[in-house]
Amino acid sequence: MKRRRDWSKKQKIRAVHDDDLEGFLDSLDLLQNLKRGELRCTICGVQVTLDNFGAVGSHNGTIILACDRTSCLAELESGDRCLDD
Amino acid sequence: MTELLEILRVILPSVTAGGLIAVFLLIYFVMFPQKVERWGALLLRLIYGLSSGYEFIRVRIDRRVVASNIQAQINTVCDRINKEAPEVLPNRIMIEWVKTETKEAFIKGGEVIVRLKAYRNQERNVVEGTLLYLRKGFLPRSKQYLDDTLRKGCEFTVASQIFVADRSTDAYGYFFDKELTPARQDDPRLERDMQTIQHLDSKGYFSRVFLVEVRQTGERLLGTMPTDEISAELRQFAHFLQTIATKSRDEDVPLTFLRVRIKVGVVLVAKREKIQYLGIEPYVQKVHWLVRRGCERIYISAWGKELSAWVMDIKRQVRGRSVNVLREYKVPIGGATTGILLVCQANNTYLARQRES
Repeated sequence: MKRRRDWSKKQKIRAVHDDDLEGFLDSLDLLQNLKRGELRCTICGVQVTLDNFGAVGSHNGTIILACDRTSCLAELESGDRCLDD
Repeated sequence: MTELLEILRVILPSVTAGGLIAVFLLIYFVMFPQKVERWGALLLRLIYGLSSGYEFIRVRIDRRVVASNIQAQINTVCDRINKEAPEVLPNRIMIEWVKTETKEAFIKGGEVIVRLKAYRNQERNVVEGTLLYLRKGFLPRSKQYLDDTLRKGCEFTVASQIFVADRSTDAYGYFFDKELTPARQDDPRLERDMQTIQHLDSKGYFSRVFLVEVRQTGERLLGTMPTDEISAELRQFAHFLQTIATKSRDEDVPLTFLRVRIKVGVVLVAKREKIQYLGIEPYVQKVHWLVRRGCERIYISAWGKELSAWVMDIKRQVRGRSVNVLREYKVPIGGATTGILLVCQANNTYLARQRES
């Protein structure tokens, strides 16, 4: 018998659209800090701005950010590295 | 039965053509959700293309075009991969848009929220969405048993297949330049693993054999902590398959892999002369022998039309005796050449009978 994928099983990817980015960051109290250039990528340490913001996650009760480099996004998702490193 | 016919006789004349179409569409939606998703994505892309110059329309549909196209592209290829390697990607991707989030709820939820850009940057969106999806959804119960480099190599290979399958965006070009090439240059081990996987894939072994064995190993070990020993065994298995995939015509290579967790035998039907002189019997006996030696799965493989036909004869001789045939694949090897791959499971009844005698 042909095996079909169960379409009720979903892998949700949560995303924020460019148009909603400022509002979203503001709701997390990150927008002002980001605009002042005070936030850095948790993975590579580069300064994160509105232009190169890639993703946001949390670790040990803290919000962590990744720049838009694909490798940084992947590492943030896997939780391999954290701010404490 | 007569009551049902009576009901149908009353209902049918009152059903309009519109009603019939609606019922047909409803059945189609339920039966082929993946096709509906693909058509929906295509339609939205068309509207997006036609709305050039009408910015207010584009702003309104941008999120839908971005999400539907990522979903359709990924889910289509993943369906194909799942046919070759069941349950390797068990969940379909779904993009959930977030507009605002309270700090407390976000920290508590512990999920990553990724930025997706407007549709004109869709190649980037597809790459980020795919890699994030694979990180979560690829071999969800087994990938922790692979070492980091081999896992990354597998994810990159599946990602490449997703990007190559849909040319509506230049996602593969973006992935190649921004991710694949730098990663391969930075890490020689990844470069080597990617080559190994390429060799496996060239003979149809990557998804149909390697990923299936990794998934089954992971499911058997579920709840066990990943160890270097386990990942080493999986890596050795990849090299075992690579040796077979790259062997020359007359070269003899090991065809059994009997370790702690993976117990596999491969029967290569590759020598025409052997079949011409001895028939298929040596191959049939080889399958029985592999089962008696403790192989849990036997892969019978041949490349080329003529040899593939012999495999079907072998199948008839071994099926229901020493093995049960689980799956049968026609594998494109390259150019006009196709191969065949039978996935067989050792028959416990046969083994029990052998032990008794």
